[in-house]
Amino acid sequence: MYNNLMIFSWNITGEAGFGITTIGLTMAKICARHGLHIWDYAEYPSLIRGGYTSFELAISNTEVQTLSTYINILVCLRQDGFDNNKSRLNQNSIIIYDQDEVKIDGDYIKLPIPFKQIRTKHKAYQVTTNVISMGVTMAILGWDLDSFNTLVNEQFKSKGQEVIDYNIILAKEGWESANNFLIQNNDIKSKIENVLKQYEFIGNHPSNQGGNETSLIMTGNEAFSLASIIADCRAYFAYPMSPASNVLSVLAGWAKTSGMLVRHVEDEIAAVSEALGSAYMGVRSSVGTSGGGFALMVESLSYAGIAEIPLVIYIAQRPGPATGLPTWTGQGDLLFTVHAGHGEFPKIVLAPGDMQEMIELSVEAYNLATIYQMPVIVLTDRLLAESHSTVSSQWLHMFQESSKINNGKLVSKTDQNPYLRYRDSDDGISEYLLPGLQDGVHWQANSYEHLENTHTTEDASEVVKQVNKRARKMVKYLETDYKGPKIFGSLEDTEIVFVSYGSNIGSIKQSMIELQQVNKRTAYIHFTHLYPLLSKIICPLFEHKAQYVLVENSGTGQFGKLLRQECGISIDKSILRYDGRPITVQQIVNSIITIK
Amino acid sequence: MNTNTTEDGIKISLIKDLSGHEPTWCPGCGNYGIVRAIRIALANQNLKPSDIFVSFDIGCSGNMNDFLNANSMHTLHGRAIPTAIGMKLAHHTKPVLVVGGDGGLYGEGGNHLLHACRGNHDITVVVHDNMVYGLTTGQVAPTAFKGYKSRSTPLGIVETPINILSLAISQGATFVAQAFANDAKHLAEMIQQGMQHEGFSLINILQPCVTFNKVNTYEYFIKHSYRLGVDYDPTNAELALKTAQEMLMERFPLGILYRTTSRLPFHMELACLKDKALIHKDRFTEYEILERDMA
Repeated sequence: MYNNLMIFSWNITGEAGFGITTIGLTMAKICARHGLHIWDYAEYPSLIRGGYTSFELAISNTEVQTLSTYINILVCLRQDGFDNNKSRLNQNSIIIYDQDEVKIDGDYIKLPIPFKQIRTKHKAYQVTTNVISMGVTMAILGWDLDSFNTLVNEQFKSKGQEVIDYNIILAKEGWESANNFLIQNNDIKSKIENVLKQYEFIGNHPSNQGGNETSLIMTGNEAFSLASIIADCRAYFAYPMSPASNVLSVLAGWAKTSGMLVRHVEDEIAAVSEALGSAYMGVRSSVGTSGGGFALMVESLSYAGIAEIPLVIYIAQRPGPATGLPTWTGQGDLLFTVHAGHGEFPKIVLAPGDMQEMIELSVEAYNLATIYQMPVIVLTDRLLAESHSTVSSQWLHMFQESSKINNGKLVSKTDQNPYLRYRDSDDGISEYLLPGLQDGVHWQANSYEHLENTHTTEDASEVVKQVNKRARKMVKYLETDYKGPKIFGSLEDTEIVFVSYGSNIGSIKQSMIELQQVNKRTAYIHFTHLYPLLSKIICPLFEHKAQYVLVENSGTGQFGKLLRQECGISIDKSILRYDGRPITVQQIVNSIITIK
Repeated sequence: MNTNTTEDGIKISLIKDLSGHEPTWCPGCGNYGIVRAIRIALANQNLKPSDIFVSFDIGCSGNMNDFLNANSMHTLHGRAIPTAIGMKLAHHTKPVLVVGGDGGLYGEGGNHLLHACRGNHDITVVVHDNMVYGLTTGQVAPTAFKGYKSRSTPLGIVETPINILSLAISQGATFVAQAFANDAKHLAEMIQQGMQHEGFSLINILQPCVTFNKVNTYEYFIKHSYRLGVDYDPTNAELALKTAQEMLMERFPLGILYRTTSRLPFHMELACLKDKALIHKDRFTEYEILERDMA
């Protein structure tokens, strides 16, 4: 099998509620601060305490958005942490564990650490094992504890010096304990050194790396939140639902500083209704949810469509149907999203693949919603929504500087008399007077079919006029703002062309590199603007002499169906996954190698 | 502007400005009295169509969207209250009214009403309570009395009526009143006081549906309703709850049942709305402060 040397993986597993993710994030920050790229992936059950939790960090000196096939360091605080990950361990995997608590059979590089004894010595709760294990990790990697101590000082500032010192002492105990063990067990020490030698970027003390490039780490949920601020969104309404809940907490946490109105309302219907109310007034507004919550919002989506109200909807998919798998990932809501809403009305669906795209497309979503006066959906999934990734600060600041607010035809004063809010026009977009700003002019956002002057109508020709007007907005969008897919590799000279969208990009791009190593030439068509689709740009991409393969985190290959529906393109090979787990490099590579 | 006034001091020209299309309601419908009362209440406060914001529900009541000139949203059935809250919070210096029926606001959107009371959102909710569904041609409403026979309950409704006055008071509404559609002057006074009240105000309007409700007629309401006396103390919550219970015995008190100024309206509790309305605020661009946690 491929032992990929670009990604070093560190995995900590333990009990839910024991700070597994917290310490994982600390590790991620230490890496990011030293110029390394990270991607993380947490598995946790839909409960608060007990149960198996794991946090895996993929570390690289280049962009990374997938897990490696094998785990390099496994911090195993629970027996099933070993049992569940056996298939991803090999003789070069380093396992950190307490012999009194976990039993490890097999040929691995074992590093027993007396966590329990250390805790007893310091009268520490079990929850502190994560901190001790950080010390052990640092020792194995040959790093000192400076970075860790700095982070602890920052993170626990509000909790007082005592808490800071306590954490520093516990990490130091772990660090010393590991180093003492390695001094006494030279064979293990040299095995570890041999492993690390293969990953130069991590084996060296990372403080030597990085240069001027600094980076932030953020999840997709955080990236959407930040993009909302950049796009001047002033009102966010939500009812918590995994995996989108964090947008609500992040924006609420920032609200005191940003001045944003952040409302946790009684249900998703209220969320979208309040958002429509504030959007009507001219305030950029959005809502965030997952499939089930979006199902409740669908009627209002249709209202936004007919009344032509700008609205951004963030959907982080999880596997359904119904309650499904709340804390796992999937892409099973694509067609539901694209087709959501009764009646015929225009909408735009965008899907980011990585953090940078999440920021870019989310800001774009707010502008498009305003320009075209329609609902725009940012569709992502649990994998991108909750995983952290490094984002270059330099890039981010340049992006922030260059981001423009485009208000389209929104005006605070009109010259029309009488004012016709829904006046027919070539591009279908009518002047939108912000209500209440001009003395003597009023209009209604009507959920009934209406005349140009906003009054209700059932007149056949007026109905056709408005339906056509709204439909022309889609034509205008396709001509003006639609962006075709990104192409990775060359479509001219390839055997395999992957076709996908969203967070699968990480595993697909890594698979391309690994397939290159076994002389398989591949390319990738990555879609970001999912709906509507523009055939004249897309169809030529599918005329090459290659095997096209749809890659999707769903059971029915919904993007393939959408391509067929909108562009008449059929893809007969697909790599699908629908068990709540993300598509892996291993799955893709194995599938391609076995394609005849 | 022509400022001719009637004997009561109502500005005729303003009433005219507020009047939209000719209503399409059935002759004799209680809605005529309600729209007249709303216009009087607005004119009395010197509010023009461009000054006010109305969130209309769906139904005969909501069809007022074309008969009352205002900045407005003709929303979805049941969603007029949350839509109004969004409008209010975006531009909180503007007065916001909700106009809807018992079906939309107490049935389909009942959950929103509870939470709007809790939040004490500064909106005025004007409810057409005719105990029947008009626009869908005569099905039972959540305010109908047990046993009421309708097209959806030919053998009589099993449920007892929702007691909206006590419900609103118990959930935190800070202004709860009841009026009769036939008495536009009193109704206008209730609406005006509701609008001037800082906080959530509910005005439940007893409204005969001449086409579909042959039980709760003008005569019925005249017989079963009474005006709260001058000695009635609307700041007494206990008394208000007790008075609201009379509804279940087909005795309908008219007037302000409950009023309290003990709680701030929602928007006044929000730091982000202290200085300026959301719509008028400057764009926030100090991203570095927010990014600190991500470094």
